[in-house]
Amino acid sequence: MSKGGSNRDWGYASYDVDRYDDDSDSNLQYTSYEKSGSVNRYGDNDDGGHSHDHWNNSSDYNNGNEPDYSRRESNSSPNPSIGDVQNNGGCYLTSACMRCFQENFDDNCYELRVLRWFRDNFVSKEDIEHYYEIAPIIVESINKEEKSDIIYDYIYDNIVDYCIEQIEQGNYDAAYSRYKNSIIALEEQFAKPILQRQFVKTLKKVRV
Amino acid sequence: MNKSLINKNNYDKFIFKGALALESYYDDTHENKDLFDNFNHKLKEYRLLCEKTDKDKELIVNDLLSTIKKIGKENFVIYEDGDVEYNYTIDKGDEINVEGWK
Repeated sequence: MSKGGSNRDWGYASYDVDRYDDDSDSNLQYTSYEKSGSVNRYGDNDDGGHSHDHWNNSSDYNNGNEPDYSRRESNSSPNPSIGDVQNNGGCYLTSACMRCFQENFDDNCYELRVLRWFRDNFVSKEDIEHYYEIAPIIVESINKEEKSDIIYDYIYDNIVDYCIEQIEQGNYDAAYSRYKNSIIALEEQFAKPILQRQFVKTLKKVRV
Repeated sequence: MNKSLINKNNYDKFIFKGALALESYYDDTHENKDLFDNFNHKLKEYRLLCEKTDKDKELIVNDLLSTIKKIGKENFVIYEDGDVEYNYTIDKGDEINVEGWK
């Protein structure tokens, strides 16, 4: 996500943290950082519909201010699923899990639930924003590689599996550190070439 | 509106974000409920499909574009990557915001 930047793809899905301990009451939320700078958040109401909160700017949202608009009742619009949110490969951690589990993949699998819980409780909003801004570009780049399966295997073993293990043991710093370092490394290798090409393209347009 | 902005490569994003943009529009104005409900009915059916072919996506994209057009394209901002937002900043009588539209 970005504060009005152009590289954000989907925003991010999470579960209502307050209810996380009880799976049956965990409610899906989807937070969308819009290109205009506003933020929309949609929350599953358990009745087939969802709530909607809107902040006119992301600073208000990040500072925990009350939304500028709030609707708690469901309307006629259907709920999107996490699959709808992430099935375009916007998250390389999810993609790694998908490649690993293949037809057995469940978007609500243990690994992703733990990682989302960790994200919602320990990862800073700035880091979350940066991740969702850059992750779709990383996924796009990896998917073009001939050996993408090997790369996702590596991500699963060295990031997903490692972080889960650290989180289970309460080593949150170690998990955070591995998560952050992974973004830096993958961004350098996979996102930077694409971003540089886009930058050159933009410069050429400006010259013309 | 120029449909070439929306193509096979960004159908999923356009459908997903377009639906949410419509919702934001309705939440803000409470206008055109019939159009809003009609589209959501089709969207629900689309989402229930186990496999979504390009033809299925094209149909729902056309429905969404048609709904946006009937509501008024000035109420929305469509970006080149298929992202869509409801244009909260527009007041009645303001100039049309056509960023991303050609």
